[in-house]
Amino acid sequence: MRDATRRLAAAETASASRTADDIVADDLCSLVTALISLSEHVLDSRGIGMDIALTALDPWERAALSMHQSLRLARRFLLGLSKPDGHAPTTLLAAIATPLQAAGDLLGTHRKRPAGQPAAGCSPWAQVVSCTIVSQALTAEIGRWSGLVALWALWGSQSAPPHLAGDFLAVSRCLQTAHAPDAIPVTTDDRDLLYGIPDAYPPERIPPGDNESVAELCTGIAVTAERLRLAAFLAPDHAAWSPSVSARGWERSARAAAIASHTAGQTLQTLSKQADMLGPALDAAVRAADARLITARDTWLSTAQTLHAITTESANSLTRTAVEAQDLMLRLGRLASGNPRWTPAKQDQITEQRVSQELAPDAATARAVLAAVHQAADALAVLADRDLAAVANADAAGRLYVPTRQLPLKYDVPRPYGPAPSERVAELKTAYASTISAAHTATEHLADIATTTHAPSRVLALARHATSADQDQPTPTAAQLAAQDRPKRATELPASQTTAMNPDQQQARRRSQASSAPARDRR
Amino acid sequence: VSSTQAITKHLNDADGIAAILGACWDAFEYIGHVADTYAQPESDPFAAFVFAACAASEGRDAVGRVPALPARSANADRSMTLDETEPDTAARILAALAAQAKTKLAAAASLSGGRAERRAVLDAVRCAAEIVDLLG
Repeated sequence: MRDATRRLAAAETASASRTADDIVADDLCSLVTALISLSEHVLDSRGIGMDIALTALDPWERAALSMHQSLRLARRFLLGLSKPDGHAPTTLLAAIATPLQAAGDLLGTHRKRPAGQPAAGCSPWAQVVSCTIVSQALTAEIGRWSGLVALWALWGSQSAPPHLAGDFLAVSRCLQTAHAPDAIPVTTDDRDLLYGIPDAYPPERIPPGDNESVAELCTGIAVTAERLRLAAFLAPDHAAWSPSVSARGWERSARAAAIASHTAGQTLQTLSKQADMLGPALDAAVRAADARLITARDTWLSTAQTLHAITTESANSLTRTAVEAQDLMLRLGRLASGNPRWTPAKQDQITEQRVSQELAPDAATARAVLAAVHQAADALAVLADRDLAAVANADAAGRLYVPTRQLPLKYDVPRPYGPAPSERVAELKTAYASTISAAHTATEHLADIATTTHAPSRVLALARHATSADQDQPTPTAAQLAAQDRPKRATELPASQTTAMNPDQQQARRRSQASSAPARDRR
Repeated sequence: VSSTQAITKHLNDADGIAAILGACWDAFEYIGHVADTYAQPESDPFAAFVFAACAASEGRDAVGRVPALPARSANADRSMTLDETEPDTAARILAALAAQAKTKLAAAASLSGGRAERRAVLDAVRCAAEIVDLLG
């Protein structure tokens, strides 16, 4: 999407020196089609159909719907203006349509669910992509871009033959209607979040090198953290039947996470000495975050030690999440120690931490280091969430075992493995629950500092804020709903059910209204 | 006789695949427990002990996949402690134990019958080698 915005800005600048002859109906049509596709993404993610009562929508949702209708009308005019023999896209405008279309496709990939994946979407960002703040920001951007395209359509009318000029003007008016600059309340943070959403596909792995600089380590940590979040989210061991269920994989991940939290804490200790690089009076906040990471380390370690006694059918320890967690551990160890070849081996032990001036020689590097630690902590919190879910699923399926050789001699069990005793499984789940709590607390502390300092990782904080804002949104009372002129189907819901609905449920209800109503395609 | 001495002797005396696997299973279990005990964040080899315990769990499970492993452990009632206060010394002792297990397992690999068994034993050799690398 950034690419599209850059191209739009370039086209806007270049348009001053261009002639109206450059404005080709086919190119405008491609652009408008791409905007319609993005607009459909907003409507789909909010569950808004054409047959929904406008009074059931928030003002910004009404603006989004109206924008969509205006864009579709503009396209209808443009299709009439297109040359029947086709047109090879050559102008600057045509080059904008492709990245815009790609942006829409990429946003969609977060929500499309591949076979066998959880219904919540196919990436940890699925909820963010559909949340109110991002939907509003995207709608505002579509409106802004529509305003630009309206201008180009107006110029197109100047070079068009007299009998077509009117149609170009009509297109321009439709797009001006879609523009609606003040209809959507959007802040800079909201736009930053929209543009900060990564692809649903993992970035390519950057194997830890032997001589990475602080900047390279920070970049590597951000990439690895993103890969770990995705790997944890999509881990195949969440299915109870999965052959990938592996206690050794969970243990390796937990141990890597313990060491990663330890070395991340060491990095924060060093950074706290240069906290003035981040901003005034932030040293206490950095030290507090360090203390939370230490708690997270201890809980991870306790979880790993509890896992030691548990066995599963698969002994594969090098699961995708374990490999990513190890990469994260290696890079955080190297960042903390200053030893470019650091490994957990005794010979590579951290005898001296990196000196603070070397870690954060300037404000930008200090923010990058803080962002790296924040990225890592956030990814480890996701890992804890997902691994507990996998353990619970395996337990429910009766797939956690203990080796009977561990039992004292007085027990005579003729099989090599037996079901894991319930108290041992309960102990494991408790350990994971503590880890989740500690890991999320550490992440929240780091998110606060990242937001204050405008660190590159603040998009993670913005994402959490955006999704929690949706969950905190007050739901309308039954009386308020009854006072509104709603379609009959909506009021047929029992009052108790209506008042208890969260935003997701409200969306689901809209979808059901749309699906139960006579099918009228909005396209 | 300390736990370490007993396990070392058990490894030394092991002859035949079943005895070797039994001795190595006990050795891995012991290394895992002791390494976790010494995994203190204040000590320098913290990360090495944490990951050595991980490799020990994996080695134990790999040996456990071989059907020739005896059902009972001669060390099941033995305490899993090491009477040593210095982490560096503890690391050396565990590394030596892992090296001994590695040698024995490499010998057992040639005695193991099926391909799956052989692969499991070789996995255990890799785990023992990892412990040696981490703590040595």
